[in-house]
Amino acid sequence: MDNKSRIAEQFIDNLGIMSKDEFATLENAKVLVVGLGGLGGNFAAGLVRLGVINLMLVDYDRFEEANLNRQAFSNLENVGKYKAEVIREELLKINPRCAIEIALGRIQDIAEEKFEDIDYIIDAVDDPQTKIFICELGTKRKLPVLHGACAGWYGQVGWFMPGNNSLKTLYGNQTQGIEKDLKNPVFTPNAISAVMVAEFVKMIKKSDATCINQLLLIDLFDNSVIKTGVESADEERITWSK
Amino acid sequence: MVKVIFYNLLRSKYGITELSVTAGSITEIIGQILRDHPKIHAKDFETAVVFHKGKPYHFSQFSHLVKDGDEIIITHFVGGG
Repeated sequence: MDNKSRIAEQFIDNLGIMSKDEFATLENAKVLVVGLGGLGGNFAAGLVRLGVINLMLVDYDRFEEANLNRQAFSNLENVGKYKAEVIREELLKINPRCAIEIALGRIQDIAEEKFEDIDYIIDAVDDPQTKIFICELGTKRKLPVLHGACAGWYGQVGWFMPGNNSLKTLYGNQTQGIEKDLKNPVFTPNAISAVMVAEFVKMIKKSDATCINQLLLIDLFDNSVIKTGVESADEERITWSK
Repeated sequence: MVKVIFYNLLRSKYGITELSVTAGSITEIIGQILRDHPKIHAKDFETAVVFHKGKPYHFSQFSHLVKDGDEIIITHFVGGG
């Protein structure tokens, strides 16, 4: 059976931007998505629609009525249900071949051996200190971390390679950014999670355009994007290859 | 002169994209901006983060010096998901 016949019809339209070998890389990858709110739920759906099969979803939270303005797969029937359980069920409706593990807890409380076969970590949480923890987990496990965050009209996206502790420099001891006042409307997490999916594809393709150890600052009000390098205070690069 | 780029909240709130100011510490630069643009509130800078040569600086680090010819981005960090 050649590659062409092996790729299911539902993913054919992804092959305009990636080769069959790149698709195979993506299919064989295991992705840890931490946080299943506005960013994480949309991002996980994007991965499955790309063709990613192996996922681990982490979120301790249940859907609330206040999530319905923006969070993927939230609806009145799901209020009170665990996000990870609902999203796994919905993702399996998109592709029943998916192997999706879930953890209904905080990332800080999960035993590290659970992450042994993970290839990529996605930071889609809404707490700066947990974002720092996820970045440090990436360094410990020698895995790249795709960071995303949003508030109001604004968002930021970037890959942080093992050894880069920029998020610690960026967030410091803060527990909240401007989302405290601006909250999150429907379009910002949707747009930012779409940029994250695009960055994921660029990483799979090993493209020079991948936003590595840099941050894309995105302003949807002004329709502008700034790419800035982000250096950590005491950067120690750790070799990562895939 | 230092090129100051206002981003996200500051750009939306004040409709200012770029400014040119005399070199100095970030505190001095913000002081110049406040003098030249009285409609801008000082409080907006207390929660800002300033990127200079790819490194973020918080309020407590605003004594950091920015040299002539450099560029800084003044923005606010976001942490929502």
